[in-house]
Amino acid sequence: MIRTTVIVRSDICDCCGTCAGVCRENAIELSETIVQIDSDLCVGCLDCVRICPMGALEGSA
Amino acid sequence: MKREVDLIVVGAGPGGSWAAKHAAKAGLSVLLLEKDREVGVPVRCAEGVSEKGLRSVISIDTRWIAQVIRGVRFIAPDGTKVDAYPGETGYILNRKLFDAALAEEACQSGAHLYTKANVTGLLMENGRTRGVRLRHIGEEKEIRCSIVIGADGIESRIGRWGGLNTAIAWTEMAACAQMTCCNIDIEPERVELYMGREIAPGGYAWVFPKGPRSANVGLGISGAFNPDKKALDYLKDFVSRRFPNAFAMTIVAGGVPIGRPLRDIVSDGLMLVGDAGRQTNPMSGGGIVNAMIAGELAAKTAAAAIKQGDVSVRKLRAYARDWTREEGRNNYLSYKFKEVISGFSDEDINQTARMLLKIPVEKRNAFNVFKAALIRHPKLVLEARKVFL
Ligand SMILES: Cc1cc2nc3c(=O)[nH]c(=O)nc-3n(C[C@H](O)[C@H](O)[C@H](O)COP(=O)(O)OP(=O)(O)OC[C@H]3O[C@@H](n4cnc5c(N)ncnc54)[C@H](O)[C@@H]3O)c2cc1C
Ligand code: SF4
Ligand code: SF4
Repeated sequence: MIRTTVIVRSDICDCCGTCAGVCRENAIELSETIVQIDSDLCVGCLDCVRICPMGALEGSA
Repeated sequence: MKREVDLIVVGAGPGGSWAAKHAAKAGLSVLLLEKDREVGVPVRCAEGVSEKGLRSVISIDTRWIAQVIRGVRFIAPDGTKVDAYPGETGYILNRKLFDAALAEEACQSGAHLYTKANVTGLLMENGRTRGVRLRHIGEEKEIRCSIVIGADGIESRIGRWGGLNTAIAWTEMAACAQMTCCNIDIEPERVELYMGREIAPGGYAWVFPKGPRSANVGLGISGAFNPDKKALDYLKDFVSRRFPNAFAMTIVAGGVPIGRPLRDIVSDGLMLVGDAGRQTNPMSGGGIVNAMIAGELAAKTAAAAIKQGDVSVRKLRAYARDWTREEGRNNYLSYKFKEVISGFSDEDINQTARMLLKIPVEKRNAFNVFKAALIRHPKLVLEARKVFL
């Protein structure tokens, strides 16, 4: 099975948490300086990619 | 750090600090946990509040006021300018100092504050929240408590860990970007709000002065209109047109929930406060005062529940009811207005603006602005009366 994953561009990301707020799977973990996506929980819906105000997320198959 | 307390509050924003303060004052042992290295930083906020709202929760201290505001200017897509609310005072806060002052008050009331304390999970027992797991400066810890208050902001994960569905549909989240700009020509006592599909589709752009030549310049958009152009790109376009000589002292991103209020903000041993409970006003995006109102109400219920030894969801619903009565109902009405207004075309907004220009400036208060905007929705005008009069 090919799974869509999300890549965080940490040079663009502002750690604002907007992506975590929309993730239905609660797959996005935030610290003060790092955003991480739990690939076991992520279902590849790409809602986080659509909402990110900075354009810091990219979906990749 | 204590191993067991009455109440753990996660997040030291306005909602969390205010909950911690009032709970400690009511005699509970309280831990206030903040993931960042400094309370109040970074500021992901335009920092605007009405005097009336602010005064309802705290006595005003000029140390954390950056700018006094005496008027609002709406700018329609065709450039029509409408000045409104003359005489009604507002403030642009210095939120770094404001948030720090609230956290300090919490500590002075007896709460124990820890920064660099990132909560990574809840301790659950028979489906009930019993404490938190956290990483505190590299150390993993578990702390038990009777109640957790999740005041962990827009990024909140606590509700979902505790069985509440708090995810915001991406179409019901405003994606925001803001620059604090200097070297700009503004009227320091007037905020500006810009509307239009080109500027900020499904939202608006704001200029909130922080001094004679500096301001928070930002915007929120509904991603639903154009998922390919990002909030930051809209903002870059707006700033270069409105303030070609500006320099950005900060650039921040953020999200504001603009959907209908959540069905549930409490579960067994758990309450959500502020942005974590999606308690922002869906029309204005304002959430500072709302978070503080909710924090105080949650603390009151927490103290009563712990004293009576019953922290079940049934008991904690008292907080949800209080919230709905105090602000939740207004939020729901604001949500309905927002739904109508975000469907406006640029021409609808231009027409509304021209209509408002015919009302004398001293009568252009919030209610009359809504009345003009909602002229084709008489039912909503009747409801607006409840909110604004
Ligand atoms: C661009 C923008 C402009 C805005 N402008 C205005 C405005 O002009 N006026 C207004 O009233 N409102 C405004 N708002 C909304 C306002 O900022 C929020 O409603 C307000 O900050 C909510 O307060 P809070 O205490 O709920 O959450 P926050 O202030 O977000 O605080 C949450 C805290 O929890 C911490 N935290 C998160 N997760 C964890 C964890 N796992 N462990 C420990 N700590 C954690 C965070 O670091 C943060 O400090 C704006 C929002 C945005 C995005
Ligand atoms: S929404 Fe974008 S900028 Fe904000 S934390 Fe997520 S990836 Fe980073
Ligand atoms: S793609 Fe969907 S499931 Fe995966 S992290 Fe983004 S929002 Fe969550």
